[in-house]
Amino acid sequence: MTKKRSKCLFVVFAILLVVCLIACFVNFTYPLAVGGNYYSYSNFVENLRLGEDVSNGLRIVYNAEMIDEDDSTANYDALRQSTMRDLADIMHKEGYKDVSVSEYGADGIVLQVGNILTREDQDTILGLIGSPAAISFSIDGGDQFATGKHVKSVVAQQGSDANGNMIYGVVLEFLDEYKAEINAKVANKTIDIYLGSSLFADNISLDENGFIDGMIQLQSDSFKSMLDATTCANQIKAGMLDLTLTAIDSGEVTPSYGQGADILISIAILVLVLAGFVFLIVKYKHMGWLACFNLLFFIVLGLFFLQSIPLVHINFGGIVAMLICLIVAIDSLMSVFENAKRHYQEETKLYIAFKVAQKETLFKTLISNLMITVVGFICLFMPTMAVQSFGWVALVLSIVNLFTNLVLMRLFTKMYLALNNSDGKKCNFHKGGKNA
Amino acid sequence: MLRRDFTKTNKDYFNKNKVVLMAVAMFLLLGVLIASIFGFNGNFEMKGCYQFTVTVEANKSDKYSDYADEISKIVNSYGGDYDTTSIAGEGDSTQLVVRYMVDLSGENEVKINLAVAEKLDVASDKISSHSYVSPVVKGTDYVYTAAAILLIVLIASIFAFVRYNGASAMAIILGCTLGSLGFMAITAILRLSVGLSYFAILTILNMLIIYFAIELFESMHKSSWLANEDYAQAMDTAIKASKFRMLVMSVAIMLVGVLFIILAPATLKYVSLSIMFMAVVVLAVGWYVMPFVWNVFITRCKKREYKVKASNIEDKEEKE
Repeated sequence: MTKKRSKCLFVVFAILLVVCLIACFVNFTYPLAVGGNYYSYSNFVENLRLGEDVSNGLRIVYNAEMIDEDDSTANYDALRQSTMRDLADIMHKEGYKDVSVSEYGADGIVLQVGNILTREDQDTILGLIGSPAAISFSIDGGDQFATGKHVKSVVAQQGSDANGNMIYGVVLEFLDEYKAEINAKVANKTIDIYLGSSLFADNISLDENGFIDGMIQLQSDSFKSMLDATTCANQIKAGMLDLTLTAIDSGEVTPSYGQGADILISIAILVLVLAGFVFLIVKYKHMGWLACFNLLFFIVLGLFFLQSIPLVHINFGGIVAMLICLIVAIDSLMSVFENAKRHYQEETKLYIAFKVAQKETLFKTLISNLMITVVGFICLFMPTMAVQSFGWVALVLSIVNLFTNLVLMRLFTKMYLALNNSDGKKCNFHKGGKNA
Repeated sequence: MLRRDFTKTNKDYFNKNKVVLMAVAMFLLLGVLIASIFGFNGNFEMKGCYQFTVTVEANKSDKYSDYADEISKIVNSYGGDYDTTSIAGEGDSTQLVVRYMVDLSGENEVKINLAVAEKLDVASDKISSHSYVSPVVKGTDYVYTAAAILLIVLIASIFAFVRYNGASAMAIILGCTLGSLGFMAITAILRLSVGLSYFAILTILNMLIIYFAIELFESMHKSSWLANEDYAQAMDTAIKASKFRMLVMSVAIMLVGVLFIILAPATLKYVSLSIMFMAVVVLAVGWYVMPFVWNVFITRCKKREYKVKASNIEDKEEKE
């Protein structure tokens, strides 16, 4: 690589880095309207999904009552446990991963959802499960013939109509033991479906067969996407819980680590990163600067992927994983530099020293990051949110580290050696076994 | 000759470090004893907690941490073992959601409510009754977490065994076991609030640090031996290097803990203490457990012969 080409590449990468850092940390509104609309951009850091440890959440307290107060055989505690499980399941299916559901007092349930930052998010959740309403089926103008306890499953589905357009709907299936009885009641009738006291679907006409295979398909013009159908299905499921839930209290709740925990943690990480940068620059001079350049790319790429993957939530475990991966990234770079220093001390030319050092540390870097990737993968299956967060962050950042260390850093080293291929003093390397 | 030298080295090692090894063993025993009698001080995730809410005016946000401090003093004075106060807001009022760990009698609950009402200057009907919140972590979660941690340690040991030798695999197993026991002993003795997630993450962190220290040990050992030091001297050089690495890692972890202690609100302080004590455990593992393993076990492993490959350096220089 020629000196001129190397300098051009450095300038290009420097500009790229500045653009990436802006994308990471800066919000802005595009100055020109597009199609009459002004668009705004929010940075990678703001798009990170934070867990309830470090971000505001939503807390809902329910009073949980038996559906049939006169049923003496029912075990309230068992029903409360199954209701809690179903509630958590509904939230997970809606994409809210950081959910905790606990018993509250003698007859309550408290649900807490992390990373609920806007009023809109709160309203969405409250609309879904704020007041779970029991589903009921009635003959038009007549008696109720089924409730949620007669329903086996509720599934959102998609298909296409005669014109090939996508249509979305919700399919309910009744329990096998009730199918015959229900069909006998609804044959040749028109039925209505209620969620609580609100009419959910009306004037559904049935022929002499009643529900085909004990299933009913609900469609609506409001189902514009699979997401709409899924939300509807989850609303119906929320009304099929084993206990009747009435929300008695709800509101935004501060992070469990306290107000400003995210800022505090950001400061701590920034201090450590700066300390690492200063250490590298002091110890390795020019190569230290190059290492910092590489690490900034690692940080930018890492943040990009962490905010892009919807399953990643950052809480205590994720933060620990970030620190570990950062330390591993610094350690990988230092291994190369130390090996190169050792070869240079043995009277080897600088560029050969780096080439041999990179070859020698290749396997070590691969194995270290592979180890973290495997650990991260196993952590994804652990039950607590903090450990899953650790798993996701470790998985993503170890792969990013492999790329920045084995591809980008080698390129930067090649670019640097085109400018200085013999003077080891600029990297704090000395001939003949002396250390700075 | 080599084996006789190392037998002498093993005895020397034990004699030199007898006091420290005995102190560590006593410490672990004490921790296990206290944990057996008094149990661990699990956090609200594991044990559940008791909770009440205090409704205050919404425009007093600058006073919330003072309120939380006052409430914590009151709850602790009645033996409640205060945990956290979080803030839940809705409309014109704000609720302080107070959690504590110990089941109090009805009389004490009423006394707490009255004391809080007086201290915060709120009406007594703004303070709710006390309710129990069940643990978030269930029985199966402990089993899955333990199984996952064991699997991770096993995989790391296999990695170390395949890559290096049995002594390194043993270092990971012993280091993780004693490190976890040490951390649990500290938390049991000091009654530090510990959560399942923290324990799992800090154990994994300990394992990863040990693995990286092993990498350094093996590479230093190989390079020292190739540089014509004898086997024992190469071991010393490598052990010193890995001890230094563990010291650096431990200091880095301690720095994080200290930063948190200085800057954190009360809710994060027990996390900070956990991190700092883990740093101590990492240091102890690096300075005593791993050298012990290498000194005792490495001679029992197959001695690898490092083949000195044809020097790329000389070839390159010839081409130049």
